[in-house]
Order: sequence, then structure tokens, then C-alpha cells
Amino acid sequence: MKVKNAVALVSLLFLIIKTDIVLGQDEPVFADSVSFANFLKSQGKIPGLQFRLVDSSKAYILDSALNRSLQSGIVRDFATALRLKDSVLRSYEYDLEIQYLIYSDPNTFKATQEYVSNLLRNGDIEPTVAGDSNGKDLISLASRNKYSPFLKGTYAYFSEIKIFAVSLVILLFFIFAFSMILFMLIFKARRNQKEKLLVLYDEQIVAPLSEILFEKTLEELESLSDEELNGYFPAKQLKKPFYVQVLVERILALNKTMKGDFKLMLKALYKRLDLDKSSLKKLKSSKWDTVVTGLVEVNEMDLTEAIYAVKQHINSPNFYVRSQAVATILTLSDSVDLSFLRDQTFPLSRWQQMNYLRIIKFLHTTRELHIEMLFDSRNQSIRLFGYKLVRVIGRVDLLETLEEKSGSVTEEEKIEIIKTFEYLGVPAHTELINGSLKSENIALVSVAAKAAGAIGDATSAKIICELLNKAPEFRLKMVLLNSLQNLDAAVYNQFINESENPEVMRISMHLSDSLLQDV
Amino acid sequence: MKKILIIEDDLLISSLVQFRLKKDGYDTVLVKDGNAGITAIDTETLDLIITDVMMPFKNGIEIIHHARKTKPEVPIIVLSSLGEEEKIVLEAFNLGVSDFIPKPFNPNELAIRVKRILKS
Repeated sequence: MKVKNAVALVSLLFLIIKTDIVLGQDEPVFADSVSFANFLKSQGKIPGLQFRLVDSSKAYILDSALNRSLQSGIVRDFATALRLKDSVLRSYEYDLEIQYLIYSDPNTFKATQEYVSNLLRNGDIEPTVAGDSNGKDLISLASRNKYSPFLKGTYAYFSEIKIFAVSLVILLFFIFAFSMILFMLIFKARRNQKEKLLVLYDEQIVAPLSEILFEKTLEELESLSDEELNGYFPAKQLKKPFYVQVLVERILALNKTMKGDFKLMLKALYKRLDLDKSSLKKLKSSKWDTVVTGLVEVNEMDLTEAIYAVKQHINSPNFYVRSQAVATILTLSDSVDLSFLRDQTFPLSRWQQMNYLRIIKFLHTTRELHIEMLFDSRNQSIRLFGYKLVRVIGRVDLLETLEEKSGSVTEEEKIEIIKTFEYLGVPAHTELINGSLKSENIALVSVAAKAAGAIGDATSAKIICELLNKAPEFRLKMVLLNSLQNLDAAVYNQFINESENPEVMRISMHLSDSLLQDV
Repeated sequence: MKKILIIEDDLLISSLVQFRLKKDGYDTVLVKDGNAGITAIDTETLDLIITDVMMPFKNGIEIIHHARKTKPEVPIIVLSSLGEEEKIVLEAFNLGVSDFIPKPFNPNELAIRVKRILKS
């Protein structure tokens, strides 16, 4: 019972809400009955609406006077009904009423007005606009017309710049996203394909490579005909760049791992397969990484015929190409000296110096490299590298040349020259050390003071004492005292005894402590 | 036929070593990483193990440890680059490996050492 009541209550509420909604929509279309009557006159026939003339007893009248064939006295438009009414009144002086029939049922004027209003609201009838209605009630006339936008379809869309811009951004985003996905898919597919090919080529290469290396001698390999060689490495495959790349990489890797006759075999095979031509071709590439790869291949496989092509890259503006070209030339050529390095215009980095030093250190015992050429370079970094080379490979015979040069070099170079003299333990011309001790350049003074401790003389000790009396900064003071102690213990002790500077005393105690003297 | 296990991640080197040893009439088992090496030590009947040091999953030292525990009678040859792994190689010798061959190496020299170890 309670459930039934609840359902009834909900239904009632729904109806009330629904009614409110409907009522809320009932905006009056016609201001008054006159405007409605005028509308009926001008509108003509309205679906579902009919009229007829009735007397006071509501009996209908036939219009036989106007000779109209009316069924049950019914007319379809209001204007005709009005004319009939006037005609009856004029002819018979009989005043009749107009009865409104909605779907043949008699209704009141108000109900008819409501019915027509609904038809208009729902758009079931279009109001007929009279030609002379301009300037009368344009707003009410306009409200009777259904709204349709002035600009339609795509033109309307493009006229709104903000929507257009946002849509364009969204469209570009989707295009970009799809392009990226497509690119990634293609990239991944290609990579997968390359990996598969790599595995396949590896399998195809390893077996014949092993067979040639272990079954043939060097002479047999060199005398193999093209047909025989193609039995191991098919000519069709050798035309494929990726196969050639894999083959080159494998031969180079083996060359690094193997030693003895196998290296010679690999180099001979490299040339028999014309892979040296592919390496030379790489040297002419416009891509720097390809050139570097070519240089590495030339270097690893000792392709001496490529020296001229390699020399073209010695002064390349690309750091890696330049470095690799110099390293390759140094390794390959039996006759080349360091003149090509002397003429380099680009500064040498620490990495390049280390790299070249490693090669030169290995080569200088077997080849005359003319390191002294580097002292005459216009490039300071090359000159500095030359001084370092003298030090590292122990070319004592070049110290005299260095000493001669020291009078006309920059302070940075003087530092390297002094370091070289100190490292090799050879006393330098006193002017080089003592002159540098008097320099304004703290770094040069510090290096000269340190060297003076090992290769200085009495004048050096005197200059060091003078410098100490000028109260230099702590670090330099420490270097000077240490050098003086090493150079002349008597002068050092005398200086310490005479000094009243607490900092000098602290350093002295530090230097005399056997546990701390190397700290 | 003597069976030799080769544990080496470089396909090219392992294939060459395998080819050279097969030429001398040895049966070979080739694996590419430490885990597979340990499995092979556990499952195969071996006469010699040749192993690299730097490998994926488990390094050569771990393999030597395992081999010494499970098959102490099987001799081991380490094939590696001395320059970068000197400390590890010394550790390998302390664990009782039979020989060490530094890279770059000569496969013929390896074959001679294998023959000598298997004879003794």
C-alpha cells in the first residue's frame, strides 16, 4: 500500500514538473484577440481548423445565397467565413456567429487561439507575411520565422578564427603524432630487419673466414682466383653495402684479436676482396663520420697506398677527422716525419696530444721523426707538444736546442722547457732558471723555483732568498723554501734562523718533519 | 673424443676457436654467456673449459668458482685481455686455472696449449 502511494506521489510530482515545463514554454504568440483574428484573415487555410456560421441556437446555416457547395456549411478559411457572415447580414439582416471547429469539433475562440499558437510554436505552419507589413511589427514577424544562421556549413566554420586556430592545432598535433608513430614503426622495422641481416651475414661470414684462415696459407690465399674466392664470399653478396660493412667490421675485429700470421692473412684477404677500395672511397665522403671510419680502416689494415688521400685530411676543420688522419699517417708511413704536424694551424687538445704521444712513443725508436721541427711551428700548442715530447721520450740531445730557443719564447713555453730540464735532471743555462725566478708571472716563478731546487746554482739560492724576503703568498713561499732546502741546506738554515716570520717558521717545521715533508 | 666447453660472448672469436679445435678432432660445446656456461658445466661431461672473463650475466671468475666446486678435475684455460683485467686474471690463477692466454692471441698457440693440457 505504501509502495502504491509512493508511486502515485512520484507520478504526481512528475506531472507537476512536466506541466510546469509545458507552461513555461507557453509564451503568448498573439498579443490579443484582434491580432489573432488578423492573423487568421491573412493566413488562409490552417490544418485541422474549420469555420461555420451558426445562429444563436448554434444551428448551422447553409450558404445557398452565394451558391457555394459547402458540406454542412463548413468553410476552410477565416476570411471566407467573415465574408459569408457579412453577406448574410446585408442580405437577410440576420446576425450570425462564426463557430471554430478543430478537427470538426466545435471550440471556443480562446481554444482556437491556443491551437493555432501551438501550430506556430511547433513550426507546423508558416505565417504568411503580407507584402505591406514592412515597418509594422518586424520583431513579432521575425519571431514567427524559424532561425537559420546567415553563414552555413564550412564557411561559417572558417569565419570563426579561434575555432579555426584550435582545430588547426589539434589537426597538426594529430598529424605530428601519427607521423611520429609511423616514423618509429618504420625505424623499428628497419632496425629489426638490419639485426636479422646482421645475424644472417655473421653466419655467412664466420664459416668461410675460419676456413680461409685455418685451411689456407698466405700464398694460397693470394693466388686464389676470383671464382674460388667467390665460392667463399659470393660476388652477389659483395655488391650489398651492408654485407660489405659487416665483413669489414668482422675482419677489423679479428685483426685486433689475432696475432701472428693471421694478421697478415686478414690484410691479404681484405685486399683480395677489394675492401680496400671501399675504405678509400670512404675517405672521399662528405660525411665526417664516414671519413673517420675510412681512416680507421686504412690504419688498421695498413693500407699504405692511401697515405696521399689521408694527408688531405690532416688539416681538416673537423677535430675527429684531423686527429684520426694524423694518427693514421704516423702509424702508416715509414718515411714521414713530423713536418705535417708542425704546419697544423688548429690547436692541439690534451686528448690529441695523448693520442699522438702514444704513437710517437712507440715509433721514435725505429724511425727518425725530427721532433725539433715542432719547435719552429707557428702554432704554440704544437711547440708546447714538442717540448713535452722531448721530456716524455727522453731526448736529452735536444735540450741544447731548447735552451737556445728559451730566450725568445713565451712564458707558457718557458714553463714547459724548465719542466723538461728538471724532469731530465740536466742543469739548464742559469739565465733560463734565474731569469724566470725574477718574472712577474707567479706560475713561471713557481716552476722555476721548483726546478732550481734540482738544477739551480748559488745565484738561484740568492734570488730565492730575495723573493722570500718580499713575503710572497703562502703557496709560493712553501715552494721557495722547499727548493732552497734542496738547493743549499746551509743558506736555507741561515734564512730560517734569521727569519722572524711565523709563517716561515711553520713551513720550516713542516719541511723538517720526516712524516710531513712529502705531504 | 675429448669434449671442450667454450664460453665466449664474441661470436667471431668463439667460432674461430671452435673451428680450430674441431680441426684437431675435439668435440666442442659453444655457449655465449655466463649463465649458459654454468648450465653446460652442470649438464655436460667435459674434459676442458675455455672461458672469457668479461661476459654477460656471470663473469669468468664466477664460472671458475662454480667449476672448481662442481668439477674440480676439469682444467680451465682463461682467454682474455690482460691489460684491462689484470687483477681478475691474478684471482683466476689463485683459483687454480691451468693457463691464461691474453688477447690478441694466436689460435694455433691456443690449440698447442689445449693439446698439452689434455695430454697431461
